[in-house]
Amino acid sequence: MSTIVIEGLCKIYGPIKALDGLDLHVEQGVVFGFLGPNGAGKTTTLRILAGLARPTTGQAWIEGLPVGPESHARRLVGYLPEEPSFYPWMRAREFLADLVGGLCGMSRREAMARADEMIVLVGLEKDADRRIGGFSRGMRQRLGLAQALMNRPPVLLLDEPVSGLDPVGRRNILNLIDELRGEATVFMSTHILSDVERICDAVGILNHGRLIALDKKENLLRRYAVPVVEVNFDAAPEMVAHWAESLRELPYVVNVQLDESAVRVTLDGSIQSSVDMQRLVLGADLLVLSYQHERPQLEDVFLQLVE
Amino acid sequence: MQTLLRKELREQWRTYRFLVVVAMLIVSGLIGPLSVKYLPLILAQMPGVPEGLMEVMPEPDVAMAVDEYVQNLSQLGVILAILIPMAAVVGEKTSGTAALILSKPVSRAVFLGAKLIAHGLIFFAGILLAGLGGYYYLGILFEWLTPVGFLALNGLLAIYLMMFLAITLFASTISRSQFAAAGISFGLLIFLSLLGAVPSLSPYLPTALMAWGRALVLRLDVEPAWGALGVTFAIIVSAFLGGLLVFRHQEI
Repeated sequence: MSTIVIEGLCKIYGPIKALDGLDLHVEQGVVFGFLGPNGAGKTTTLRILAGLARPTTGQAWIEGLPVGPESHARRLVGYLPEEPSFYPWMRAREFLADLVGGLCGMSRREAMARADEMIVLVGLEKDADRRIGGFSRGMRQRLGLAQALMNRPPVLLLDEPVSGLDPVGRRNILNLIDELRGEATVFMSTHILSDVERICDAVGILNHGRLIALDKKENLLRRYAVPVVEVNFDAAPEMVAHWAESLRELPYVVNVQLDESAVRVTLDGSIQSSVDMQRLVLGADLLVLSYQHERPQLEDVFLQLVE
Repeated sequence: MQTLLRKELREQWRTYRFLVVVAMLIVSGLIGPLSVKYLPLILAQMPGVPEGLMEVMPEPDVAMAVDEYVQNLSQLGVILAILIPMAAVVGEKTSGTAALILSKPVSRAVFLGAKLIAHGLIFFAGILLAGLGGYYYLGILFEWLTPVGFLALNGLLAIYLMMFLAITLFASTISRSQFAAAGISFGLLIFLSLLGAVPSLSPYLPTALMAWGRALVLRLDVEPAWGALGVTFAIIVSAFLGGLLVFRHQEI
């Protein structure tokens, strides 16, 4: 069953088409990575799902409820904007327990307990009673995630959830999102492809407001990412160049890049091509320092699709 | 509503707006009777006062003191009612806090309503405390006035200021900056003043509430300004509903 359904979503800002007929279904309990270059329409989609913006045409549903500014779908959603803003005069614990808990309809006792739980979860124990005005960007981001999780929402909408975090904070938040798998449907936009590769089950790639790829991560890698062989020789660059040139004529070689005595060969993806390449390298009469058959990366898929 | 109202009131307190509004209204309420009573004495003590000025100055009385009280509170109150809430909505929209709040299951009517009620409460509190101080000084310096009449005057004053709060919140909802919001409110203030120059309209304008309140305090025989009261309430309700109508269609 699809938790998030988007049908024919268009959003026009003056002359700019931020979304151009977006259709998307996100299954329950998955961590969905929403990728796209700057201005692709990721934040607009998230804002529409969070009920902060209206589509020009089209509609979206969360667990069957239509989204919108006064929609009940907001009860099911935890939203983290790209740069969450808070009241600087408030304290973190107060913000979570009194404000967010109250807005989510939690009892005072429940909100206090949940706020304490969230503070520990995002690692803000020492700063829970400090004014938010003095928080760093990373601390705000963690508090933002805590407020999104306060009411145990079945759907989490996260706009660049790890931007502004240090490596430790990033790892912690990604682990946290990873642990939500199965419990909540996580819809996250990000620019950091390695993060998507690490935690996302399914990936959607958006470009110019249109969805250009949507599949499980493994399927995307299988379909779009091409294997690359990188060989380092201990030989004169001219000899290496001569050998590399001979590869260009082979039907299964897509691209050859030369850097001094290192050659990077992009293959067509067939298993036979990888086997043949291995044989060709060994038969080159050149001393091989290293041979690496690179695993296809999501970044390759992304670049191939958006460029 | 309770959660957002509590947040708004707490914000007024923590950002010292509550103290500023209440303190300024209290001072303004006290200065009226004091200045009327002691200005002639101060002038008499000052060197270089033109000869004969003291003779032409009217003898201070309770009516003059009440006039001064109303004038001070209404003028300063209007300025505060424009400056204090001018960023209430537009500030939250531009900073991004409105997005965080409105992504929660809360209606936009509650978001705006909490702001209007919270601002109204601090102005009511300010007028109440200013009224208590003003009443005491009017009593000891001039004569003890009828408490019901004085209460009615302050109630009308509070409703008058509430109208400017509602207008400024409306302006803050439709504007892109807090200064534009203040500009719209000041513009409406000037427009209402200009309308007051039309004799057939003036009994129905909010400023007529001040004359009515004055008459109630001084037990003067004046027609009640029910029309002006109705118009003032209509402006408050229209400003709120108009703001809500716009806000509901805005993207945050």
